[in-house]
Amino acid sequence: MSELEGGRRWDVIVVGAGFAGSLVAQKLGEQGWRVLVLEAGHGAPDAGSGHQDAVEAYRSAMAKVPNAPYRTSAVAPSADILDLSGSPEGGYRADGYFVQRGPLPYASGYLRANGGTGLTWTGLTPRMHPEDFRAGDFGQGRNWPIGYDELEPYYRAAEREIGVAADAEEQREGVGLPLPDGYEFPMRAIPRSYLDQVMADALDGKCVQDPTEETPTPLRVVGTPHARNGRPNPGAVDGAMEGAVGSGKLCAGYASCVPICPSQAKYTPLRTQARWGGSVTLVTRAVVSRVRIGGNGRVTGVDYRTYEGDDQPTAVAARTAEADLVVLAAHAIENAKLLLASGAANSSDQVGRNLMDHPVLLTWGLMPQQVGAYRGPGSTSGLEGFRFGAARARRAPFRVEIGNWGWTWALGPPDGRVAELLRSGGPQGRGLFGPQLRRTLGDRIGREFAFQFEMEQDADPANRVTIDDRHRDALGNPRPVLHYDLSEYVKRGIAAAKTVSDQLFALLGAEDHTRFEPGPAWPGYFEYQGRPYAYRAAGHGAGTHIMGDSPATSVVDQWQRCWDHPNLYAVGCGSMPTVATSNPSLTMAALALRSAERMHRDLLARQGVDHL
Amino acid sequence: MATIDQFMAASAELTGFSVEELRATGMADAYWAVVLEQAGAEAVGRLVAAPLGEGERELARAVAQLWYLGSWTATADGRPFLVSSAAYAQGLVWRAFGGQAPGAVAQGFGSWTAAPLGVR
Ligand SMILES: Cc1cc2nc3c(=O)[nH]c(=O)nc-3n(C[C@H](O)[C@H](O)[C@H](O)COP(=O)(O)OP(=O)(O)OC[C@H]3O[C@@H](n4cnc5c(N)ncnc54)[C@H](O)[C@@H]3O)c2cc1C
Ligand code: SF4
Repeated sequence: MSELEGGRRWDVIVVGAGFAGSLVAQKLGEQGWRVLVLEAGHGAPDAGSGHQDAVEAYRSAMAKVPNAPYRTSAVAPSADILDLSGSPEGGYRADGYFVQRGPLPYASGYLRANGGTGLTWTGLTPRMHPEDFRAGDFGQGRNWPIGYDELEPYYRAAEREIGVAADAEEQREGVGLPLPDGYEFPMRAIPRSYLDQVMADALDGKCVQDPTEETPTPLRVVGTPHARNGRPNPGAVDGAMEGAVGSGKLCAGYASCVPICPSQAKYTPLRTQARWGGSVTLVTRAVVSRVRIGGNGRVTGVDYRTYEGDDQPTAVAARTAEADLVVLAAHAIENAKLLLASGAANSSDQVGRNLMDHPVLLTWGLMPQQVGAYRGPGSTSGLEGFRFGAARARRAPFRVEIGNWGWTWALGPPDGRVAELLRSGGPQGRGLFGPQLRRTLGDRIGREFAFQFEMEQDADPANRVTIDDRHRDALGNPRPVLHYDLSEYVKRGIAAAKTVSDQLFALLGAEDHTRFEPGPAWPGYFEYQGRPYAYRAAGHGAGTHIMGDSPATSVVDQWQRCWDHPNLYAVGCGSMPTVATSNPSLTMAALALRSAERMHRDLLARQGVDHL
Repeated sequence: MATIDQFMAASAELTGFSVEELRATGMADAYWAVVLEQAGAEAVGRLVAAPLGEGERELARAVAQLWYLGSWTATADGRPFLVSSAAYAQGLVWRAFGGQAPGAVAQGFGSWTAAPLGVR
């Protein structure tokens, strides 16, 4: 066993108190291991007032972007979507934390604050499909070293841990998920939105022709699993309820899940932290810069720096912590950065490579009738028919989310539409005012809707995170240097999705307002086969310490343990060999819970060695 | 010098909401102060004299936006700003279609499944 300055001894150091790190610390703490969690960002002195401050910061923010409610710092910079803008002649500019060098931008952000990006996430938690673990069989991307069956018990554990609301029968029929007989989610499904209902009336049972498919695809509006509190499910087994609904209130329809749920109905890692046992110690404002590696390849601990202040760090102090086991849980991009900066785990030359995300094609328009836009969770249902099957060999598969929040993700909140009517509305194009303005806005905004086509991105080694001595942050740590692009495979998927969208609009009788043009609002603008497209990004960074069955071609094994270092784990979406089409965090959580069991066994074995 | 009553009457003309509806937002005093500070008494005097006239078109837009969004537009020497969290919550743009500002009001579990007010 090792010691920390000050005489404390740690069994485990977890780097990052975000989504994955909080779960791992919880599980290891439960086993009695002494866990030190080092978190780069700020943490509120008490959770209640921290939450109230964040809600107020959100409501008073001019730009209500994902990071708006939270206290960030130049010492441990976050990646903000405001950092990117498009150029009028095409191309993009990146002015923030990331150094971007690819033909197209990596367009997702993340948050470095206690709780991590899991504070600001949407909270959609679909499982991956068994087929998703075998993408390599379609000739695109890699196969996983484990299959759905091996992860299945951990999916259930994760659904209990973070509290998932869904309808098991609907997931079986609508998505084709082989859930175990009798399985019930901890909470009943979140009710579908009025918009979903209108869509289901118009679309269910109809078909659209995806140009890459041989036969038309049948449509069905299917409810999405959520990590937000619905009504408890009396049928759920083994105390599922206690984790699920024990903290936070019933989803109250605030409609601001991204970036903050005022009623705390949405799961955040702070909920898991509240269940940490006494053997888990959290230190915030502790930025890890390096993993320490011993002569035998085993890691001995980490170097980190503590600080005060935000933009002007003060009282910076260099520290070291030692432990038997180190778990990197700093987010896919930060994990890769830490491994690179430590010269660790890279005998395969895959560290930082295979950076994936969900590029999102948005299409937007006006429904023929009022649909009650801007109510409830951001998306409550989707179309699942384009995720699976033979077409995967030809184009990226995609999941279609039905967007309840009008045109927010496509064009921003209604502010832009108001300003435009005031500037150039009306018969003379000199501005619309008075009752006409009121009527026009009233008619249009409540009819807004969007489709969000989340594309699977294939693992391409050329899409990668690197570090470069010339680019450092305020503490002198390397900034991520990114090279990112969309493959032909993804672009074919986007083109197919647009064709599907056109047919959906026709079936709905909706007015299509989708329009892509180069300019500040569309850094992800590109042309493909002579047509204009643009993508946004879902915040689902993955693949940077890819998991596999061989040390020659992957960074971590099936337990997320680095092949090169028997006591170093890298957990998070960075381990995913394919990002598939489901929002990735539930799968990430399941993997983290599975890995925590392996860590526990490693620690027990190590203890045996120490006692010899 | 213009009065707050004249300002409210002009605001009603610009927004299409009645003076009573505007007052009910609770934002009248705050907006009156913002407009005076940002535009100056003279320009405000010209606006209230002819709200839809050509002379103060930019200011007319800014005042309408203030009520609809709670924010002051960018000016030559200033960045746009939100007056307050209450101003955001009271934006008329939401009221125009029977909605609520996201994150401002708990509308109730399942409220999103019901037909919206406009089509009931
Ligand atoms: C707007 C948005 C919406 C999303 N919606 C969904 C969704 O609906 N469904 C879904 O499945 N996923 C969603 N995601 C993705 C989800 O948030 C991430 O998959 C998840 O948070 C990743 O977890 P993580 O633990 O790897 O990283 P994080 O949650 O980001 O946590 C990493 C932690 O490590 C800390 N850290 C970083 N560097 C250091 C360092 N050097 N030293 C110490 N600590 C460090 C950070 O401060 C942070 O607390 C969304 C993301 C965004 C941005
Ligand atoms: S809809 Fe509202 S109450 Fe429900 S999770 Fe989202 S923000 Fe929270």
